[in-house]
Amino acid sequence: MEQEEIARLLARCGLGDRAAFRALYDLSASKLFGVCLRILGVRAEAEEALQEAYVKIWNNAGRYQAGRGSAAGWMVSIARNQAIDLLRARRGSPRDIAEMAELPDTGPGPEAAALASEDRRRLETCLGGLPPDRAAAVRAAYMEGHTYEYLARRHAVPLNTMRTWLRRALISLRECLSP
Amino acid sequence: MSAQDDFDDLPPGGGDAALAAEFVLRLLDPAETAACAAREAADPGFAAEVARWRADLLPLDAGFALAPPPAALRGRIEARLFPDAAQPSALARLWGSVGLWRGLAATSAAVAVWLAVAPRPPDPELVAELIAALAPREGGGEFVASFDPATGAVTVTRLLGAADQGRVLQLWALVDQAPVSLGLLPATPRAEIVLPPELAARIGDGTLVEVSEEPTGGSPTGRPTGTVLAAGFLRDI
Repeated sequence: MEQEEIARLLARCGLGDRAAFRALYDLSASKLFGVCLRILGVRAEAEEALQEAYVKIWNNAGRYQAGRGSAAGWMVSIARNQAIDLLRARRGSPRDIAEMAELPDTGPGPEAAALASEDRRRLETCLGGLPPDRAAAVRAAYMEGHTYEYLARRHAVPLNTMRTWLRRALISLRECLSP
Repeated sequence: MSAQDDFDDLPPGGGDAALAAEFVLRLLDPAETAACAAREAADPGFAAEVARWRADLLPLDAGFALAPPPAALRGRIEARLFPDAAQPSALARLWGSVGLWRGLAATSAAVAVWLAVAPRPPDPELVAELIAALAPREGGGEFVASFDPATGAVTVTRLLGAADQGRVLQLWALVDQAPVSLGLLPATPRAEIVLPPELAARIGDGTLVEVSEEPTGGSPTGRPTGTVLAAGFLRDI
């Protein structure tokens, strides 16, 4: 998604421009639906989450401030949070591994190459510096919407141990990422 | 336990950094998430931590593959956002906002055709109601639920699905992130449940409604324990 165009369209949406909303949707819907589908795994639910996400995007477009972070990232985070909240509301916890196994392995999208920037390399380097199971848990929380409860079960450790592990990992990650 | 209780032995400042990361990753429970959102709005230091994590984790977004949504979805979203643009067809708005009805193939299609050839002004009583098409889940049921905020009455029409022998169907709503039982459904195809006013007041546009199969007498735990037959969102049409 092109950042400047998205930021421009969001600003127009904030002013109530419906044509801008349509253009924004056309530009971003495949990405956001990919996010919802990855997290929810069920098309009907992903469609519901996507609808809710765009309603939020329209209603909050005026509050997105260009220059304060990626416009596409802002939209992805709304879709991601919407999908995760729906996942937890509906099933209490993320879908189980058997269900996940039915999904195609969604690798990086076509944008990955374009985004293989210094930021990406820095994040990958810092994640690579963590113990592999903790790096995997951070990725899984972000990409799949896993809860502490689920991560604890998956790694066969008590819940509080999982929280302590992951928080320490996140603090290490912060130290590594900080310039 | 608050999200910070475990941080006594961590370096100063580490608590907020980790808390902000947990917030961005959506690992916290709903109450903690809400508290963090409030802090993000009020505390510039915490907001900066949150912004840093969002920016630092942003490259992971590239891992979400593109997937085109169904073509009809844009129209449904626009119908929800801009209901006035759908004039003169109140029916188009109806169709758009309960788009999940598409699963109810034959019946709905017949209704749509009928509406299309016999347009009429929106019925004020209909407009005042909220409707949910409960689309099939694991249990493969289909229901239509309507809710009248004025009277607190929930009407449930069963199109498909029944409880196994010795089990009952229970109707739920998600209120403030927690499941609330709206009542047990009788075996009849149509049922009306009148909610107490304090519960009715907490149900509205966007409330998730669900039907699950439970032991006789209803779920013993106060939340759905059995197979979910169908679920959907109430929509203000």
